[in-house]
Amino acid sequence: MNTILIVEDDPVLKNLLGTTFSGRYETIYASDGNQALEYIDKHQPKLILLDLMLPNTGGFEVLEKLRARTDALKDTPVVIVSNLGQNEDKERAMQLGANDYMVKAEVSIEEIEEKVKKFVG
Amino acid sequence: MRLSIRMLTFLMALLAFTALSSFVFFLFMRADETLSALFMQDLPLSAIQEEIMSIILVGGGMLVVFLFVLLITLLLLSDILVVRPLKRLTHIVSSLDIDTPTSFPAPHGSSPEEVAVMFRAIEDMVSRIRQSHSKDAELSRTKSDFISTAAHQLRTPLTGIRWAIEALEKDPALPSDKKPMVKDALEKIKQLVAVVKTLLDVSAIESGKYHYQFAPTNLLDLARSVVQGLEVSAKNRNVLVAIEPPEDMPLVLADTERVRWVMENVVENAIRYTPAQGSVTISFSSAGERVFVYVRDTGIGIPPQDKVNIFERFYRGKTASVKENEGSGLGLYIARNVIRDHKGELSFKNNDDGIGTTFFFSLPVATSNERDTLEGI
Repeated sequence: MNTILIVEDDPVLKNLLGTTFSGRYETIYASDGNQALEYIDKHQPKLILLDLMLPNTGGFEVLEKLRARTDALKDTPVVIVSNLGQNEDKERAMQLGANDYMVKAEVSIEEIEEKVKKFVG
Repeated sequence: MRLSIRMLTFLMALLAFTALSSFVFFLFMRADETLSALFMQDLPLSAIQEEIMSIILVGGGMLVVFLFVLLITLLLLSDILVVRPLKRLTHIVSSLDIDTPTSFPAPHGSSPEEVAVMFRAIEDMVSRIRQSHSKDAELSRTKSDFISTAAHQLRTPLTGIRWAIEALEKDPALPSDKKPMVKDALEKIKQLVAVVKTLLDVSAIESGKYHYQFAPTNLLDLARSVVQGLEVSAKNRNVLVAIEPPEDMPLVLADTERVRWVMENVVENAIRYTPAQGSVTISFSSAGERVFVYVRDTGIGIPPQDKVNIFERFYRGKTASVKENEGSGLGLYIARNVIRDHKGELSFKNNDDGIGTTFFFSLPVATSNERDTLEGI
């Protein structure tokens, strides 16, 4: 089974996402930026669903650090799943190397599922 | 203690004056001596003339030498004391990076007092500029922090509710008589999400932090889409909304979403303030580099006392009855700002036939090589 990393600090949303993905993917959860970076090393996910507003290290910084790596993990697909939605947030994320951007409140879980399928299968 | 240029100049002038006076005095004394001696010897006039000439020549020559030395001294002093420190200061100021908190260098020990004073004055000014610059940067960060925080705080619970209701809707255990209720709730949540988005965008526009995305836009298509969205509302009020298609209209450079918002606001306003059986007509014209959009209504018009204030925040004219005309009063204020951000202007005039108002605004024509930023924005 493919591993996906979901970086989300809100427990309610984490719960709702979890029930969707479990079974189909090996789902790892991180609740802050530091943990996210740690789990990338440890579990080498095939896809990262990344929130931006995170405690400790924020989402942008996680993305930056990921793309600054020199190993194969550097190109791990990242889909931003955040509630920040200003054009400048999207622009910044895409410039830092995100593969896609979704505003949580504006999408259904199905749409997120479909996006994951697109990147992981 | 530093030399003062003023003191130095004074001293030099005093010295030169003293030297020159002494010189003239001695010259005079010498001339007097020589001439007395000559007269006693009873020499011819030409010899006396010669003698006088040689005195003048020698005196003049020494004066020239003296002035020359003085000039060289002045040039050297001004170079060392004034020109070099000024050059150094110019170099420091022009290579200064406001953002890097480096300390301002001190003037050389040999620089005179006036130059040192200027150094300190410029250093003070630089520190004040840095302070106000960092205040601006902080204010700017605070503005975007507010929007980010508000977005996060508002959307997080909305997301939770939305996903939960969607899950509920899909649940096979949900009794069928409960389905419509759940569906309604889901619709309302989606509406709320849309309202939050508009609020956040408006907040960003207000604080100048909105990143417009300009692209060549077909205004006719946009107008059609706006009118379609307001069809129901217009029908309810028995107001006819029509578009007069232009013969030929170039694409304009616009942020489609924001201009749509402006059109919706203006047209909705027109509908709202037009009585039943009235009409709202949208038309276009283009002149040179600009395309104009007109929204003409057959409504109650804008009374003179409201004219000045109509674009102000939260202003709603006295003729707007409270329940019927529920606007926030922000629409026109923001619409005007959006159009201005597009380098256009939104205004209105009373119609020539005395019935209703026409709101109009202009947008720039998109040139063929247009990229997605407007110059200066």
